[in-house]
Formats: sequence, C-alpha cells, structure tokens
Amino acid sequence: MMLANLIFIPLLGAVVSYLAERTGVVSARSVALATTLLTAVLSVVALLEFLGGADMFPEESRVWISDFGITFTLGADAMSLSLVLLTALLYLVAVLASWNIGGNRGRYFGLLLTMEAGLMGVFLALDLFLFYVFWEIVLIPAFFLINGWGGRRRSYAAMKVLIYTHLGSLFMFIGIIMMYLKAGSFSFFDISDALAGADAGFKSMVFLLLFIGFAFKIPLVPFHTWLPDAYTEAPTPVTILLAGLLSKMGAYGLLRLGVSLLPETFQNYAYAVAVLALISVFYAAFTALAQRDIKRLVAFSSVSHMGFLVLGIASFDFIGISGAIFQMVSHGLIVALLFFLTGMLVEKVGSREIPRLGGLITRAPFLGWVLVFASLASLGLPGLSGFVAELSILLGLFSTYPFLAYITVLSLPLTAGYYLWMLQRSTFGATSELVEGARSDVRWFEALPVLVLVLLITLLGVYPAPLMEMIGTTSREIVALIGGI
Amino acid sequence: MLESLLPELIVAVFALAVIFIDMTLREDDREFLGYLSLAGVLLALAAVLMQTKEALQSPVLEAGVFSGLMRIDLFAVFFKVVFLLVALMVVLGSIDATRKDRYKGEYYSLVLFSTLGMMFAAMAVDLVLMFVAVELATISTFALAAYRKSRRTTEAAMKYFVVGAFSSGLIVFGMSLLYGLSGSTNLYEIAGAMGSGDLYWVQVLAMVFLIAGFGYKVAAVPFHMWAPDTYQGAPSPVSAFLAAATKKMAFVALLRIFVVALSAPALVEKWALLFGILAAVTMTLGNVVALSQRNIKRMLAYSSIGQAGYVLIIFALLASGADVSLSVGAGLLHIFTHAIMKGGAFLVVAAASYYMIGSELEDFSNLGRRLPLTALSMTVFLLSLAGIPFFAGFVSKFMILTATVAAGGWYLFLGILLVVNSVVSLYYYARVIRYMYFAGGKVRREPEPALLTVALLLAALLVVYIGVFPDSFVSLSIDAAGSLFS
Repeated sequence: MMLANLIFIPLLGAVVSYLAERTGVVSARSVALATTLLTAVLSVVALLEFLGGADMFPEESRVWISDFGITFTLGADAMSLSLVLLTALLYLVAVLASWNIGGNRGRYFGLLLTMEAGLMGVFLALDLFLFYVFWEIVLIPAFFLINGWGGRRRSYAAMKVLIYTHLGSLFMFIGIIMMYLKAGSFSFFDISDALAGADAGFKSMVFLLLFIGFAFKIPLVPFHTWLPDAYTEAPTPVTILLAGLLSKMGAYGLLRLGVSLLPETFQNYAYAVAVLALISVFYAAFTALAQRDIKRLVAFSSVSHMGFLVLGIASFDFIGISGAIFQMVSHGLIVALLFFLTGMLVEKVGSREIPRLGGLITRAPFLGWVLVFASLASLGLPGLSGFVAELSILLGLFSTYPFLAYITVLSLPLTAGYYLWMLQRSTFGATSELVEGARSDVRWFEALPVLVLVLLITLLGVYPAPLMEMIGTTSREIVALIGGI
Repeated sequence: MLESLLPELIVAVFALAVIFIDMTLREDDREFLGYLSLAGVLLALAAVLMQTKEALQSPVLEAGVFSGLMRIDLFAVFFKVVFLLVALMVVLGSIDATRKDRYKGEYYSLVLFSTLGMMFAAMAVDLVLMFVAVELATISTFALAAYRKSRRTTEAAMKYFVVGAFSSGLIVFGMSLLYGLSGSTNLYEIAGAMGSGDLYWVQVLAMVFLIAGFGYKVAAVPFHMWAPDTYQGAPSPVSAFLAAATKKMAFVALLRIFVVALSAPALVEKWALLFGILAAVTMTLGNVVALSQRNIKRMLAYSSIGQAGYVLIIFALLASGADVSLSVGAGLLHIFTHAIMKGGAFLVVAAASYYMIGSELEDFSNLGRRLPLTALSMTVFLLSLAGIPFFAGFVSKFMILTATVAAGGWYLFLGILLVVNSVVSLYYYARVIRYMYFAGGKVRREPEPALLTVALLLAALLVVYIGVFPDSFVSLSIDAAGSLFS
C-alpha cells in the first residue's frame, strides 16, 4: 500500500468537502466522515501489511528539490503506525464531535482535513525537510480553526499558539539544516550515518536546537504558556486534536530525531531532560488543582501526563521507552475522551465551571459516569490503559534514575487528588441549579465516539500485550542504538 | 547582436507606441493603452523566456554586447524575467485600478520605460551604462509616484525624488572613484585591477559611497526613511512596482558591482562586514517597526525593508568562504519570490481601493466575505512572506537560512536573527489575515474587478507553484548566480 495515500486522501477530502458545501451536492460533514473512515481503513491496511512483515521503512522515495538532496520519502515502523492509527481514530472522534458545528462547515471541515494530512505527513516522513514542512503546515489550519470557531478569547489564543510554536519550530529547523550540511542530504538514513562520526560539540548544539522545537510542541514547562489558552479557547474537536495529536508530534520528534539520530548526545542530557519533565509533571499537577474550569483542568493534566511521557523517553530503558510510546496512544485516547466530555458538558449543561456542575450524575447519568471513567483512566487506575503506560514508564525510570523515580511516584496521589476532587465537586454532591435544567439525551454521534474510546481504553488496559509487543520492535531498536539489549 | 536585444526592443517600441497612439485617442478610449502595454509586456516576456531556455543550456549567451557594455547571461535573463513578471502584474492590475484616472498614456509609457531601464540594468557590466539604466528606471518612477494629485501623493513623490536624486549622486561619486582606482568602467576589468593595497582609503570610500547610494535605493536601514512614506502615499499599483521591481533593480546593481567588480578577497572582507551589520539592523528594524503599523501599505513597506535585510545577509556571507553560488542563488530566489508576493500584496490594496476600501487594518475587516478571491490571494501572499511551507517565500528563506548556517561561526548569529525576525513578521502578517476573515459583522460580496483579480490569482498561483514544486526554480537561481563568474 502506498503510505502517501494517508496524506493525499485527507487533502483531497478537504477540497471535496469545501466544494461540496459550496455547491450543496452533499454536506461537508458527510464527506469529512467518509474521508476519515477511508483514511482509518487505509491505516488498518497499512498496519496489517506491517504485521505481515512488509518492510515499509522507508517505503518510497521521490526527488523533490534535487539541489539540496531533498526527497519525498515516507516510511513507517511500529511507532509511526501507532500514531497513524491514533490520528485516524481521533479524527473520526473529532469529525463526530463537530457534527453540529456552526459557521461555514465547508471551510471548517476543509481545514480540519488539511490538518490531518499534515499530521499524517509528520508521522510518516523520513526526509527531515519533509518532516519539518509537515510539522509547520499543521499549525496554519489550527490557527484558522481556533480563530474561526473558538471561544471568547480565540484571537489571542490562536495568535499565541501560532507564534510560540513557530518560534520553537524554526530553532528545530536550524538544527535540521545543520545535520543536512553534515550529511549532504535530508534523508533520515543518510543523516543517521553522517552523525555517527560527527564530533560531540556539534551534536550537542544540534540536539539543543531540536529540543527547543520539541519542548514547545509537547510542551514542557516553561515552554507551555501557550497551551492553556489554546486548549481552552479552541472548539472541542480542535482541542481533541491539539491535545491528542499535536502534542504527540513533539514526543514523536523527540524519539525519532532526538533519540534515534543523536542517542549518545541525548543520553548526556537525559538527566536534565528528565528533571525538566519532572518539573512539568508537578507544576502542571499543582496548577490543575487550582482550576475551576474543567477544560483548563484537563489541559494542565495533559501537560502533566506529557511530562510523564518525556520521563519515559529520558529513562533510555527498554521498558521506559515502550511505556512512553504506549503512553502516546493511551494519553491520546484518554485526553480525547475527556475533552469530548467537556464539549458535551457545555452543550447539555451550559457550563464547564466545576462548582456549578454539582450532582451531574443524577441528572445526566451517561455524561456523569463517563466523566468518572475518563478521570479514573487519566489518574492511572489499574485495568485501564493509563496504568499500563505509567507503570512501564516508572519501571524504566527506576532502573535508570531511581531517585527521580521516587519523586515521580509522589505525583500520583496529586493527580488522583485533583481528579477526585473535581469529581466530588462536579459529578457528585448537591445538585446545582444549572444541572437541574441539564439535558440528558444522548445522540448517536455523541454515544458512538464515547463508547469506542471507553472500549479501547479498557481493552488496552486489560490486554496491552499486542500493542506493547508491536511497540517493542521500535523501542528495542532505539535501545540497541545506545548499546542496551 | 540586435536579436539578442529583442525583448528590450519590444518594450521600447511599445513604450513609444503608447505615447503616440495616446495622442490619437479620445479620453474614453484610452483604456486601450493598457491592453497595448499588456501585449508589449507579454511579447517581451515570451522573448525573454526564449532567452532563458537558451541560457539554461549555455549560461553566458553573449559576453560583450556593444563592445563590453552589456553581458547577456543567465543572471541577467533571470532578472529580466522578474522585472517583466512584475510589469505584467502591474499593467494587468492597473487597467482596473486606473480606470478612473486621466493621463493613461503617460502612466503606461512610464511603466514600460522604467521596465526597460531595469532590463538594461540587469545586463549592464559597465558603470556608465549601469548608471544610465538605473536612472532611466528611477526617474520614470518619480513621475509615477506623483501620478495622482493629492497632498499625500505629492509628499510621497517629493520625498522619493529628493532621496532618489541624492542617492544617485552618491552612486555616481562612488563609481567615479572606482574608475579612478582601476582606470576602467568595465566591471570585469575593474575586478582585475582592484585588490592591491594601494590607496586603501579611497577604496573604502568608494565602497561606502556605493553602499550608501544603493542602500537608499534598496531602502536598507539607516537609508530607509523615504520608503514607508512613499509606498504609503503612492498609488497602490505604483507601490507594487516600486517594491517589487525598482528595489530589485538596485540589488542587481549591488550584486554586479560588489560580487563581480569588488571580488578581490581583501575587499570582500571589508564590505562583507558592512553588509552584515546593515543586514542585521535592516531586518530587525523593518520587522519590529512593522509590528506597530495600523496602515497596511505602511506595514508592507516596513516588511519590505525587513525582507531586504534578508537578502543583504547573503552579501555578508561572501567573506566566509561558503559556496558563492549557493549564497547568491539564495538571494536571487528570494528577490524573485519577494517580487511576486510583495507586488501581489500591494495590488490587493489596489483592488480594495477600487471599492473605496481604505488601507487601514480596520478597513480590511471582512475582506474575506466582501472580496473573497482578493482576500484569498492576500492570504497566500502573507503566508508566503512569513515563510510558511508550501509557499514560495519558504523556499527562498530556507535557502538563505541554509547558506547562513553553512557559513557557520558568527554567521550563525545572522541566521538566528533571521529566524527571530521571521517569527516577529508572522505576527503582523497573521494579524491582517485575522482582520480579513474573523472580524465579524455583516457585509455583502461585491463583484471583483476582473483583470485585477486575474493578476492576483496568477501571482498567488505562481507563489503556490514555486512552493510545491521548487526544484527547477532553486536550480535556476543557483545557476544564475554561477553565471556571474563563468
């Protein structure tokens, strides 16, 4: 199968859904649903081929800019494919979450699908120029979507996310160009060969430049300041994509470029990165504790969990890195569910303010129970996917940096604390005035994504072996780079 | 020999034809002159494209036209394409934009004469011809800037004229010093004669005068003060012409003089440092001041200053021992892409003013619904100016950045400054987009001026095409840079 289809079909879908709405032949949302379904099917086909033993790393290559040795090269390994599948799934969720979105739907779905093409490109590109180009282009639809369909402070939030992450990305780009100048090509493999013999000072410089880009995108404290505004002001479906996928771009970049290309250099800085990640975990958790708005709480909790993920990467341990990749998928699913619910809250109850949501479970039991489930999943309840990921990360961290691991454990009750406290005040407790008038109806496009996500989170929690095993192929390669197993 | 000057002959004939036919026409029929000029530009463009095809085979078509006055190489042809493309956009846009104006004959003939001057400047390898060509191009634009009579336009034109005349004086002075030092006006002969340590201060003086003189013409800081006033006050199609073509001509002259005639290593070291400082100051000031502009034309003028700073970087790199073709090629491509996107952006303002929409930021509110195609092309131009991938500006900025990083050492500082400036510029470009699409309020769609919209869409299409399929444009600009020396 051609991996390029995963990029071009969403792009085609974007054009068609825009034109469809203009001409009025079919609705943009049905085109968007069909496109995302097709993309999902193709992702599964790619997965099956991969499991069947096909070599897709790299798959195909075409010259793009010959003077700079730039090629259109795509490829997929277990890590790419996990994220491709996650993208395909979360896009289905996002399209259903936008089923009744207001405004110009042709434009909305066009932008949404363009972003999908960019995301797929980031996860599949094996030419670093191509990688950067996709990385940047994701931002433009996001800017338009937040500006056009966001909350009250949308224009501020949209501009902030655009400028901040663009700044980080350009530093990353300088790092990429430096690697190109060493290798004479942007190909992942050529650069990997050329860097093997490069001197340490050069590699440190490149790593730091790349790291700035990733740290803005993931984001790690103190590069996170754009995030609360962007996540809160963006419309629900876009928040799902921002938190579920765009943050994964940063983590993916850290693994693909940071770890795979510069293993020893990263290892030299691993402790510093781990400390930074640990600060993120605690800072975001404490901040989450103080939030009144559920969406903001989930946003900070997301920063905290991404910090956890980076801890796993920095552990440079087989189990730790596997856990980090697992966390990418697991966090993507859980955070998507949580943001989906905050969107439903606004629609059914009319508020996201925790104190005004008391007694939700009595009036809107579906919403209430799923919120309980998602919170438990997010705080790492055993039997759900978050637990598997966080346990693996902690195990990895214990074997490398036991001291940091002990401190990390202290964050777990904190996470449990802010989620349970939120549940206590919102879902349970005395029924508030606002909740009295809440609507309890659940329509198919609301129930379906929720059920699928709940099912997957449970499935991955109860039986993580297949995904873990698949991820293991990638993390084993990564660990082999630094002379591990 | 004459056939190799076919494009210039075409432009000259049409420029004269416009003047004479103008006399025979009644006022209502003078729109015809626009179409006539359009035909002239298209014919000349076709002729130049044929030359490009030949020059791609052998980079230097003719080394010494008119006993060494001109050199028709890929470099010259490259710039002639740029100038004619801009002229095409401006003429196409002007047919709509100047519909209500009188004096159409003067307008179009001045545009054509100015283009002619630029085309000669692209080929000139002799100081005297270069000066004459630059003057032909500039003096025509003095009149164009004053084309509409209002206080603002008059002020703009006056400022432009005084500074233009002054800078020409500086240039002539620098050129005469060069002649005194080398005993020749031919750039390649000057290159052979210069470089010894004799008369050190005279050499420095000549360079300073030339940099200052052309610094005014490219609006490099601190010689930029005239540009915002002039670009804002002049009629928008003329601003497009000034920013996209006239300014680029000054870069041609700078490249020919400094990269060819003053290429002795001892000299390069000195002027490269000057250009490095100039580049750093120019891009930073241009972009930072653009942040606070509420008038779109003025903002575009400052952004133009900032973008000129990016091109100036490549002069600084020439002392680093980095690949000259790559560095100069990067500058060439950026000049090309910037001409299209900045010219396009000014034409958008022209299209807006066709409906009495002003050029303040607030005036552009909801342009996305009033003039959707115009706003769409503006979005393309702005994203491209900001250097977003899949638009032309990204490719050329990438080349400049790569050349800078390749030079290494302290030049990396220029690269980082370029990056930071890019981020700053994204803010004020994105702000315009926000006003065009997300201002809220009710407006209704208006019929867009046909030819102007065609010009905008063609330019936008070219910007996207270069962004998506940059391969041939990248190698063209690198080869064109190489042809300076071969």
